Amino acid sequence: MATLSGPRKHESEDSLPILASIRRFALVGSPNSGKSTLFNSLTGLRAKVANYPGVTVDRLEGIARLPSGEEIELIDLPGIYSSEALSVEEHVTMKVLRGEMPGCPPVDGIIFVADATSLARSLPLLGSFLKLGLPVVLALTMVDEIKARGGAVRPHRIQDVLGIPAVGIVGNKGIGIDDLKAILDSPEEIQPFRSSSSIPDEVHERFAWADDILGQIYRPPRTGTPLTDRADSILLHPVLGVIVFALVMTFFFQAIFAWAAPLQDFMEGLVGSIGQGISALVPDGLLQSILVDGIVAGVGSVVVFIPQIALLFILLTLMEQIGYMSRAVFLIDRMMGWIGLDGRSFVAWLSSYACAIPGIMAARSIPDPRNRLTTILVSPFMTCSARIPVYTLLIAAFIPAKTIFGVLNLQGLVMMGLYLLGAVTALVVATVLRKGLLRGRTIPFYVELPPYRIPTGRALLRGVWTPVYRFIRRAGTVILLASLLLWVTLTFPRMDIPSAIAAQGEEAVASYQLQNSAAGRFGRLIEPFFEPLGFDWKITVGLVASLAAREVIVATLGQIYATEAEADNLSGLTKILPSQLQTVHTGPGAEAYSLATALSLLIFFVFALQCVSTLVVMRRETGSIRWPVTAFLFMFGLAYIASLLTYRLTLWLAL
Amino acid sequence: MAKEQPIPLTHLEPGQKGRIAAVDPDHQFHHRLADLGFVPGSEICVLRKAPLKDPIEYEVRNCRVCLRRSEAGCIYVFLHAAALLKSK
Repeated sequence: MATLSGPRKHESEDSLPILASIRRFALVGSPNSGKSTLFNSLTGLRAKVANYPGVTVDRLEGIARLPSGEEIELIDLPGIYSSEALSVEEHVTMKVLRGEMPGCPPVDGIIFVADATSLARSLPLLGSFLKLGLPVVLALTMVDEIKARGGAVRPHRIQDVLGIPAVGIVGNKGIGIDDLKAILDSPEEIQPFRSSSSIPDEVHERFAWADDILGQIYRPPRTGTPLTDRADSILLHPVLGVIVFALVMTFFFQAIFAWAAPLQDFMEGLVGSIGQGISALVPDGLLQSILVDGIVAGVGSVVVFIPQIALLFILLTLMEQIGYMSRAVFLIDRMMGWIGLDGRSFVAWLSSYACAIPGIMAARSIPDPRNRLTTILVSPFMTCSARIPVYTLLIAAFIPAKTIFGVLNLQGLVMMGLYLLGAVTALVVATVLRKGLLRGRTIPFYVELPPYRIPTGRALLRGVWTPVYRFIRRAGTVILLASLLLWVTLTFPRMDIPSAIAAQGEEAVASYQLQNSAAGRFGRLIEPFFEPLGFDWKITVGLVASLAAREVIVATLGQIYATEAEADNLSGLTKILPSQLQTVHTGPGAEAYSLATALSLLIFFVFALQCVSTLVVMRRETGSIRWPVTAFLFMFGLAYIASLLTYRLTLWLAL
Repeated sequence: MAKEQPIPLTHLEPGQKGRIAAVDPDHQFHHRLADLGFVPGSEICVLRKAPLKDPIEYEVRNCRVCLRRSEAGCIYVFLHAAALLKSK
């Protein structure tokens, strides 16, 4: 029991400030037990996400108010199948319960959450937690469902047999919550469990003990729910199921292709308007420049993606919470097995199509460390949102808007081809990793298929908000800093404009300034290295700039080729690029050189890890700087070679 | 009645039911299998196979869990006679 030495506020890394005198209860249970719904019902909006020290596991804590007015702290521990922990998350749960987690005060009691329909499996688990000696309250969820399926359980009978308070809950309707709160409010109910010796240590015996109890107080429900059975007969059908899966995936990618660009354009328009507004208010000069070209541009490059990322995560969260995602894992698992991974990696990679940051974090759901690392390392190959503006610009400028066979749009095909290239590369590299550097036996695969359920609005919101927030926070901070740094290197040192240049007009002046800025000088310095790929110093500057965020190259190209005011907007840039992208080769064949450079640049973006935010998150999630560095260097090398080949091949074919 | 021999779970086809006889203790995974409900005495039903025949969906203790053939192979079951008769 926690000592009551008076209120004491302390903060540990990444945790919430807490008062030592507040009672703490941990919600424990297997995945899909309705634990999170219960947590949400009890804590409402008063919940926060943090991190446990040293591990990449979410720490969910919240405050609940009891009828007496007392406030208690609730901690939603990761779902667990056994007190003998297998995955990192399960280890965290056990550590917290044993009071061994640094920065995490011991809990005053456990609220064990069990799905009434599968009590036959969770009762032995409850038994193992009773042996910890802490006070335990049993929250039986889905009591409406067990009744609907012809089963029966009476919580107060469990109370008689087990000696712990038990309450029946219907999570999504809020039934039983008050009863649970009333129990937590009564000190006489919250007593340490004393009959540990009656519960067997060994798992098989514990199951026998549980079966004995179940025989007295439980009638199992009919197997399956009508909805789940009917849905699965289609969704998991060898032919129909695959078709549905293909359709779902098509819809997902269609959402990216069809809606990404308009959403981004809309946001760009907004950001542009803000920039213009500031330009009107603030006089020309350095202040205006840092505000518009530095801060607004920097924040803009993050904000522009929010609607699209949110949209993709609405789709993913919906699939996850309805229960379809685990079905997708089941369907795709065998093919993932050929790579050496399992179905869960596929789901994590889907997130990377929005942004690699939540995608890499989604790999936390993979219990085996080698599988998880492999999944993380190839995530940047998935075509993220930030590559889309780059692809769109170059494709619009260089790929003719032709239709093949009257149906297929050439530009669309190229776009799809780029997506495919990224995905195939990821699969190949993953296979090689699992056969080489990260080979070995892994934790065997299993996945539970829960009944289909309609998610609560609050759960959906949280499921969408968490990855979006992560994107904003992680990408946002890095990109904003990098954008400001970029602005500094592009703007300084300020040059005295020679009269000869000044006479040539505004564009020449801007170009001269750019050429002699810190970034420009650096670009010219490393230009020889990139020359074989067809990149001149301007593109090289763009590449360096886009390390902050891939889409920055679009803005940078806009700045660099600002020969007319028109080039400030995208369509102007699109018109200018074919003649401006490379200016080394003029005369006949210049077009071919421009095309070669454009394709080479496209391929470079397919393969290169042009995203500092991704590196930062990779370091955090893998716990070591070694992996992001390796990934960066490897992908850079791959990009270089691929670009080189593309450039040479295009020239050879075109000339 | 002749003494029934337990057969590997992988020998069961979708729709067949059985009772778990034993789980191979040499398999590194058998603890987790037990926690998932695959313990001797549990009733088990084979629901379906994935389109590529692997993994396989099972129902055990009112939960639906999918295992790959390699793991399912170390679970031994007594096939229910009724199911035997039915499949003939």
